[in-house]
Amino acid sequence: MGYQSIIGVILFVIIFILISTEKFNKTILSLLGGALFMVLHFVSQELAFLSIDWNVIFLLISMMVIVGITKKTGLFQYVAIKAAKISRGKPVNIMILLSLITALFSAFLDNVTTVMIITPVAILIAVELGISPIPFVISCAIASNLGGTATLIGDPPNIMIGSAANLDFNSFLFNLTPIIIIIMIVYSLLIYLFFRKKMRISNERKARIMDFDESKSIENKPLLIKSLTVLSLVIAGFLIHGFLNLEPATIALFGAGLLMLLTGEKEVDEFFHDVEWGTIFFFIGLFILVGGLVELGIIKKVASFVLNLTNGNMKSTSLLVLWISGVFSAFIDNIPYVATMIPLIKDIGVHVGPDKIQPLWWSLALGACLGGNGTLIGASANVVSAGLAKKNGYKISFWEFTKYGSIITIITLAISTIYIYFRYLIRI
Amino acid sequence: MKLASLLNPVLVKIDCRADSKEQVIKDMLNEAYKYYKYEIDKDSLFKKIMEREAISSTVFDSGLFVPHVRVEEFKDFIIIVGIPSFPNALNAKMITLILASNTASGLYLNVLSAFAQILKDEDFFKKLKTAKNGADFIDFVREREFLVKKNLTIEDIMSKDIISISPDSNIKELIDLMFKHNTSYIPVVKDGRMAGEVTVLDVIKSGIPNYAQMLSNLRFLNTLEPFDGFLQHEDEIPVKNIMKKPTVVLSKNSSVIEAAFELTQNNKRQIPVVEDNVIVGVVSYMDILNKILRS
Repeated sequence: MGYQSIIGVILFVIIFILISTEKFNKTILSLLGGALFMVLHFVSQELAFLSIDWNVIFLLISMMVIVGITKKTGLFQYVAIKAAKISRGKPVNIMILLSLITALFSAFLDNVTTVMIITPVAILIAVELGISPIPFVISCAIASNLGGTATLIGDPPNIMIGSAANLDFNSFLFNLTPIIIIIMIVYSLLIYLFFRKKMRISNERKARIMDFDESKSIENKPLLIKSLTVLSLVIAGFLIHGFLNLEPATIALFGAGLLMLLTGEKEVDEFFHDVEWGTIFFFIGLFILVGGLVELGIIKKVASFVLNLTNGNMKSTSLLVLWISGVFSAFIDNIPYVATMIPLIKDIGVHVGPDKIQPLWWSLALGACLGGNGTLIGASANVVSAGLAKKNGYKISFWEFTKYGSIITIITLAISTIYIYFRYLIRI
Repeated sequence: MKLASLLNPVLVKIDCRADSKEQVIKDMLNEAYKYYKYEIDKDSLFKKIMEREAISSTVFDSGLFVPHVRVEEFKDFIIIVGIPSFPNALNAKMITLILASNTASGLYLNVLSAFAQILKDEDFFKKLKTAKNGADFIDFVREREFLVKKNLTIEDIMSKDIISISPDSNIKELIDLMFKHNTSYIPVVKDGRMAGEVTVLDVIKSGIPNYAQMLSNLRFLNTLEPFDGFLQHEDEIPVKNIMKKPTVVLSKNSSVIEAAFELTQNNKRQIPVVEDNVIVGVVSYMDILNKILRS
């Protein structure tokens, strides 16, 4: 390895560690790192900008705009309160139903957005029931990570994988949604086992919940109809985007444009307030950093190292990717991790043939997304949920979360191992 | 603003005639129209000045004669000064004809009081009479630094009766105080120094937990347990828990426009006026309404 590569690797690892420690803002770190790679001539600006995956960027921005508008209709809040009432105020049933709804929302919305919508409602319900909101907050955070794994647009790692590996929305639907459904059933049972006995409440408390009038939650009916129409169109578009020969970002961008036009009357800047620009630029910086690593030839070297290690056996490579991704994602941000793994797996594909690496993509997606539950710092949704709880006077310690999260992670990774083995590996 | 800055040498006449009001005003108007073009014609302006003069004479005992007119169509502020030979038929020592727009009332009054000061200062007025021409006259006025009285400042409009509270008082006392004095804003003072501020909104907000504030609305609720609970525990929560550091403060000589700007930009209703960390007044948006917009 040349000295450039060595410096490149060292810088990349330092930035990676700094991002994980959360001492500095990760967006600033990734942008500064990307710029540094260009300043040091590891990668030319032209190549660096070409390595930004605009499909990912525009899909994220467009979905954030659509969700930002839909959020204001009170729809999500309506569904969450409805769930509490359907459960007839029984805490453990509410918890399970809220978790299932969180997972469902999270399959289509960003995980953090989902918990920002659901967690306040969950805390409110718990407080009105007179029980601790902490189990509610934790179960919803975990559910958001589980649900996000189910679809192409559910979690940023999936968006990146889909874009890079040319896997369409339906591929995710056929390959990941089934396993997530199984996992959600198991997860519901686990919640029941964990919390069934811990929550007893009086009839008067239940009545408080039954008194909620969720229909009043809907704020703007015309806007709700517009949002739901566009959202349905976008999801329909995702379902047939392969057939239409359109990228998901095109569908989402069209939907966002249409919804903004239909919403009208507002300053256009207001629509973009709900875009998390910090996250968007975090991605941009990361793409440049990883593009630099590819350019320096480092990814190629690691790929052949992994292949040597597993003798090119896809069975062991696949399970290795699943579990290593799971463990890594429990401690570090899964977005930079997946961004680094993508070119690596692509390179393995160059050696063994692109058809054979399909199981690797699903292993990467499952490992990276499910691993986020491993610890409190494993996923942004966990951190945000704990932050929300703390603001309301309920402190969730690292271990309190990790106690539940690690068990769920091990169980879900085990289920994934069986799934991957029997669905993809047994025949090769 | 200096008075001298408002004067124009060609519009200062030394040793002018002062036989009658009509003659003086006509002469002065002729001078003004020699140099400028105005939106309103000379004759109607003259008529308006005389109409004003008919209501009450503007010749003061001090010898100052201040004919003036304020009309909407006149978009300028012109002072024509005359020093007549004394004695004269009008018994005037100094004549100032002021042509102004009707929006210039503040400036107009301030200019008049500056001229009154000149006449009061007998020695200076003697010196002023030695001026050979308008330029000399203005130089003398400039040397003495006669000021058109400065604009209103916050000190003039702020309320100085400050009802404050200690950070260690409880919210019950705070609410009682607000209720008693019918005020929505109370500065928090500790050891004579400003420690923070609280508004009624801060009090109400403290009763709504953070998670409820994050929801898009609370219409589905009739009651919220923590809010009811808050009302029962108001005497247990100290003011320091809900007070905020003031984000904007003004000083006594801040201008009215600065206060208006800060109120609107920061969406505030009151801003504390602070000197060396000690609160000396509070300016509220109602002060702007009552003392500026409808004074």
